Amino acid sequence: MDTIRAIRSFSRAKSPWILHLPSGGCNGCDIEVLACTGPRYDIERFGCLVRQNPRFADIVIVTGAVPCHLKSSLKRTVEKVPDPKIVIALGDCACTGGIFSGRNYSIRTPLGSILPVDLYVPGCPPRPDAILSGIIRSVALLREKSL
Amino acid sequence: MSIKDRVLERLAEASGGTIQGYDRGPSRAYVRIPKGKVGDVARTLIEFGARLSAISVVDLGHRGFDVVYHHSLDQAESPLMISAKAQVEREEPLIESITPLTPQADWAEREMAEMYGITFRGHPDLRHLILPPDWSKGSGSGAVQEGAAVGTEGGGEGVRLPRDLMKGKARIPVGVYHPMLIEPVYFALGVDGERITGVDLKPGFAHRGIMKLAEERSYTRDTFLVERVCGICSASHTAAYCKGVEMLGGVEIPDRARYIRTFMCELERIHSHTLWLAIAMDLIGFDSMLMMILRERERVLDMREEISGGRITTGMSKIGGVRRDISGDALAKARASLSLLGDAVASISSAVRSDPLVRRRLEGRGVLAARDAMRLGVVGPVARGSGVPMDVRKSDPYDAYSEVSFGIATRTEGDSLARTEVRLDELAESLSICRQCLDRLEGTAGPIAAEEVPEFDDGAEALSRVEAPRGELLYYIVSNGTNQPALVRIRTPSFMNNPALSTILKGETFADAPLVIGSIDPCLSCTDRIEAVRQGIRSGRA
Amino acid sequence: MPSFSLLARSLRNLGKCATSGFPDVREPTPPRFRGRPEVSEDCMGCQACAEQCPSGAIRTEPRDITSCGGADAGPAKFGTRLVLTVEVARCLFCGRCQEVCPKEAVKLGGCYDFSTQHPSGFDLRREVALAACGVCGRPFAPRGQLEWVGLRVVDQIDPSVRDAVKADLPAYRDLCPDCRRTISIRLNTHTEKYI
Repeated sequence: MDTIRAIRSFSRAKSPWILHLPSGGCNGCDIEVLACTGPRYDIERFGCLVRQNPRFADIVIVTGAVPCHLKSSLKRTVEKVPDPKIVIALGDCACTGGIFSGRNYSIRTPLGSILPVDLYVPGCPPRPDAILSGIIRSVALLREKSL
Repeated sequence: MSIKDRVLERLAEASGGTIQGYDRGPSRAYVRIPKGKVGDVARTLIEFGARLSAISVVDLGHRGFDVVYHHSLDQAESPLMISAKAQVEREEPLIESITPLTPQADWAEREMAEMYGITFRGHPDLRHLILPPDWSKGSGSGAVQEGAAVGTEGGGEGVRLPRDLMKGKARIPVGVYHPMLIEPVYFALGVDGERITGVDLKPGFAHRGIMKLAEERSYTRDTFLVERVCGICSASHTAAYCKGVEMLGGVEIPDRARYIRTFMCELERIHSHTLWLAIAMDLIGFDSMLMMILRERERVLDMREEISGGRITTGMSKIGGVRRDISGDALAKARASLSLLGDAVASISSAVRSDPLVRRRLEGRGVLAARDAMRLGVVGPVARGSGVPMDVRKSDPYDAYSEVSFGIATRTEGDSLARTEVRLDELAESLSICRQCLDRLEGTAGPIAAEEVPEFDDGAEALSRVEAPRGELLYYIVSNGTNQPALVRIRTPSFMNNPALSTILKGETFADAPLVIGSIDPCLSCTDRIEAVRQGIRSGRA
Repeated sequence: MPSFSLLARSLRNLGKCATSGFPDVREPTPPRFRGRPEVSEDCMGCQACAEQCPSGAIRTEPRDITSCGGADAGPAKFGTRLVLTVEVARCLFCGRCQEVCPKEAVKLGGCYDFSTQHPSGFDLRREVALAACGVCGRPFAPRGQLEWVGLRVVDQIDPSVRDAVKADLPAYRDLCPDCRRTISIRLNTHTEKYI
C-alpha cells in the first residue's frame, strides 16, 4: 500500500497542473504568471502546466484582493480542486491586501481568512523568479502532502 | 469666433440663458447648468459632435451632489473639453437621464447611480453595474458605511439578466471564472444555434474601491495607488494622475521629465500591445508565435527594470516630474535594447500580417462600423480600427507629444483584423517615439523634477487625459484645500470599450467569441475601480 | 503569400538558449532594482518612512523593556524602545521610504525571493532607543532623532542667534513637550531673548 502511495506522490509531484485564478488584482501578478509560462522562465521545465480546470489542478495560484462578490465564487472554485492541493497566495494583494488594505468596503483579503493557504509569495508584483521559486517550493509541499 | 465661444453661446441658449461658465486654461471649460436642462445641454453638445467622455459626481456635503458631464470635442481645431455641472439635492438626488440621447452615458449613469444613490430618471436599465446585484439599493443613502464590512457575499449566480434579452433562446453563462476568460467577469451570451444574439456583461469582480481609498490618502501616496489600478498600463495611470495634480497647482514640469514620461508611456504601449498580441495568438492557437512574442517582450520588461528598478510597476512619474533619470550608460543601454526590439517587432509583425491562418481567423470577425464606434464613444485602437482617428496624443497633446513626430494608425474595416493591424502599426510608431525621446534626452540638460509643488485651493479642479495603450484615460481631480484630494475620478479606456462588446459580438459564432472579446483588449481591472460614497455628510466640507 | 520571417527568426535563434538558469543560476539584478527595504544602523527612528509608506507596510510601535539593569542600577535610562517593522507581504517595493529617509538609512536591496509558509516570514525589524524625559522620565522621542534635530537647528538657524540657541539646547532638548511647557519660565529659553 505504501509503495502505491509513494508512486502516486512521486508522479503527482512530477507533473503538477496549475490553476491560475486572477481574483481582483491589478493584472500585474497575472502577467508575471504569464511570463513564467514563456520561454525565458518556462515553468514547464518543472513539469508544471497551466490548465484552467479546477478538476485536474494540483496547485492553485490566487492573485488579487478578492472583492466581496468574488469571495464565494473563489471559495467554490478552489473547493472543486481535489485534495491534496496547494494554494498559493501570489502577490501582496492576496497575502495581506497590500495597498488596498485599510478602510476598504470592497475587499476580503487576506486570502488566509477565506481559504487555507499553503504558501505565500509576496511582491508587488513578484518577479517571475520569485514565482518560480514559490512553485518549486509548492511542488515539494505537494509531495509531502500526498504521501 | 472660436469654437469654444460658439459652443458656450449655444449652451446658454439651450439652458435658458442661465449658464455660468469659467475657464481653467485654454482647453478646459466648466459650465454650471440648471438641473432641468441636462437633456437640452447634452443635445446641443451632441450637435457639435461632442463625445461624452465621463460622468463624475462630486459630493458637496449637505449641499448635495454636483453631477458633472465631461464632453470632449475631438473634431475641434484646438483641444477642448467642456464639463457641464448640474447640482442635485442630497435628500432626493434626482436628475434626468441622457442615455436615451446617447448610449455613451449608459454605463456611466449606472455606475454613478449605484455609487452615489443618484436616480437618473428615464434610464432604461438602472441595475447595479460594479457592485453585486444584491447589494442593498441606494448605496448613497447608506449602504456603504465607513470601514464596515457590508455588502453581499453572494457569487456570480446572483447576476440577473433581463429575460427579454434572450427571447426564449439558449443562454450560455460564461464566468465568473472561465477558461475562456483571462480575468474574472460574467458574460451571459444568448445564442441561437451557433450565433450570438444577445450579450450582457457584468463587470465589477475586480472592484477594489480605489477612488474611495484615494480620497483618504495624501496626493503622494495616491501616486502609488493609481499605479495599481492596472498593472499593464501603470505608467499611463501615474502620468495622467500626476498631470492632473500638476494642473491643480499650475506646475510646469522640466523638459527632461517630459521626455522621460513620454518614453515610459511609449515603452508601456509596446509592452501592452505585445502582450495583447501574445494572448491573441494564444487564442488563435498559434503557440509558436505566442512563445516568440513572450520571448521578445522580455526585452521591454528588462529595459523597464534597468531604468526604474521594477519590471511591471515602474513608479517613474511623481508629482512635479519623474523619480529616476535616464542618462549616460542607461541611455546607451536603452538605445541598444530598442534597436534589438525594433528588429524583433518588425519580423513578428510581418509574420502576423502575412499569415493566412491568422488573417482568416480575424478578418470580418467582430465588425464595429464607424457609425457605431462614434455612437458608442469607443476609444483607442478600437475606435481607430473603425476609422475614427481619435488619439489624445494628437488632439490634446501632453508631455512631449507635441514635439515628437508620429502618425496615427487607422483602418476603416472595423473588424478584428483592423484592430490587430492598428496595434501592429502603433508598435512601430511607439518605437520611433521612444527613439526620438532618447535623442532629445541626450540633448537636454536640467533637473528631472520641479522644485516644489504649491498647495491647492479649495475647490480647484483639473481634468487630465492621456492616451493609454487601450485609449483615452481620463482623470478628474478635485481639491478640498487639504493634502488629500476630494475626488479622484478615474475613467479608464476599457470602461468605454467594454459596453461596445454587445454590438460587436452580435451575429458572431460562439466559437469566435473569445477572440472577438480579446480583440478589443478589455481590461477589467481598469473597468472596476471606482468608489462608493459614505453615509452621511462628508466632514471638512461646508 | 506567407512571409518566412518567423521561420528565419526561429532559425536564427537555433542553439541559443532563451531560458534562464533559475533556480541553479540566478541572474544578477540591475543596480536600480527595487527589492526588500533594508534598514541600516543609521536609522534614528524618525518614522518618516512609516508616515509616507503608501501601503502602510512600515509600522512603528513603542515597546517596553520589562527588565532593567536590576534593583541597584536604578531606573533604566531609556525606558522603552521603538520597534520598526517592514512587513514584506505588504511592501510595494516602490522606494518611497528610501526617498524620504533623512539619514539615507533605508535602501532597497536586491532581495526578492520571499516564498514562505508564513506571511511574516521575511519581515524586517529594527529597534531604536527612545529618550526619556529628564524630568518626568516618560519616553517621548527617539534619542537619535533628538540629536539630529539639535544639530539641524544649530546648523540652519540665523547665525546671529546661533550661539544663544546652542547654549540653551542642552537645557531643554531632553525634556518632553509637556515638561518643557511647564518649566519654560525656569528654562529661560523664550525667543524674546534672541531678538
